Amino acid sequence: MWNRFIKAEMKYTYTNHWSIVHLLLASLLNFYLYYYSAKAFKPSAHLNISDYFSYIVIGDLALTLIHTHMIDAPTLFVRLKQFGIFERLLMVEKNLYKLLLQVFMASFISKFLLTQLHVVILIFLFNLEISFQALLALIGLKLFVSFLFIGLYFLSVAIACKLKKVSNGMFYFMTLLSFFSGVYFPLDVFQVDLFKKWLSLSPIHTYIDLVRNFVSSQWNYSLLISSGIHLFSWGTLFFIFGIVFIKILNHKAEFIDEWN
Amino acid sequence: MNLYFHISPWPITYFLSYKMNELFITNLDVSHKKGHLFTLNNLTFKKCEIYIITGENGVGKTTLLKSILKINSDYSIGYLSSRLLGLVPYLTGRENLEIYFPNHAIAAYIKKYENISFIQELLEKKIEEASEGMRQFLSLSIFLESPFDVYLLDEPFNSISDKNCEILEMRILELSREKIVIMANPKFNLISIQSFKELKIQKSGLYVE
Repeated sequence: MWNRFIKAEMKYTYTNHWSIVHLLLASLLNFYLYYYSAKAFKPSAHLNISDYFSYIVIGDLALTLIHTHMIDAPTLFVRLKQFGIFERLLMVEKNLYKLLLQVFMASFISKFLLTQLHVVILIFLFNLEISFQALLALIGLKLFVSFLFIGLYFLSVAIACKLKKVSNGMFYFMTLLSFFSGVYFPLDVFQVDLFKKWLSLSPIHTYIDLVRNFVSSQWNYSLLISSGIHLFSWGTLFFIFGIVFIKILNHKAEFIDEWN
Repeated sequence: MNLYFHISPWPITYFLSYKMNELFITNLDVSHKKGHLFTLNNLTFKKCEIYIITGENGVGKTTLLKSILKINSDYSIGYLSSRLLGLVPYLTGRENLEIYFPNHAIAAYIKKYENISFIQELLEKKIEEASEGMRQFLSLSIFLESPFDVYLLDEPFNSISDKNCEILEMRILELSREKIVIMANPKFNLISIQSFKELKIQKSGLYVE
């Protein structure tokens, strides 16, 4: 009973052959996308074409690692809402946060293997030189950031309550965020210094930068501590905003009207 | 000791006692997004009584149940709608039960409903492969086994056969001895439930018969 949704989510993920096919297809499609993007890319002062190829692959790898709390968990929440299960459990348990965290954990645990598989496929497909220690560190980083950004999940749930469909909304949000966080191109392509500075404060940028440094084994403790403080500050802010948003929606009347 | 809900549209105030014997509602504004329907004044729902709300379509039966559900109290109020079964289609009946109940409660559930001819089949079958009657039976029985103080049933299901309805009605009767049961437009044949209070909603308001 500690997490009633894990079995349901496991069954949904691993008996659904399309999700596995999608994973393999996505990796191959990414390969072509990255290859032609790298060819079309005009190198900046800091990055040449061959570097760009691995740059964008690691960007995608970092995005995969933060997929759970941005898209997977809110999508599971919406599915449970559509079946009417979340509403009925809420009537008995009354503790919305406990139920929301159970949904997050179910999504995190059931999708963990799938995201790691995607990461391994990326590493082999693009022949990334990554040590076993760095791979373990990446998994640790995923755990750390996932729990740090749980507030971001609350925010996504609040948005999902209003939009009713989460994946489309979050997909556009993630794409927009990725463009301005250094996933597809480095921030120094922007001409305005102030804009660049603002963008470099983005938590996604910090996280992706950290993943890049891990993969290229260029990290050190001072970078780890400064990035950790940066991410922790953002995590706290997201948490406060997430709680406030959920509190607004937690008014029972709002929930019931939304459900039916 | 009696339980009193004193409800005014704004600010909302409640006076609650520790033991649930009755639910007293006054000045409850029954309205939906399109506008105000009616106001409930001095209505008491008592234990040991089954309440059935009847009325034409669109007079506000569901809205009334939802308004009662929206009462923000420490007591648990359960609401079952025929539109939302609360079941995961790609899981079996047993796996759905595991979402709602711990293992020992599932064993008790199976024992309680062992007289149902399709219970074993329902437990092993995926919900999406089960018949409409089976799904509705499982949804309603899960709801009736959940621990609420007030049970609100919105149009209990009509695909359940008479024999199985009787078993569920017996359970509702059993519940009504301890809890408050309010149903809107039940499509039960009401074989076992002989005595109930009818609340008739007309466009001008609600009448107790």
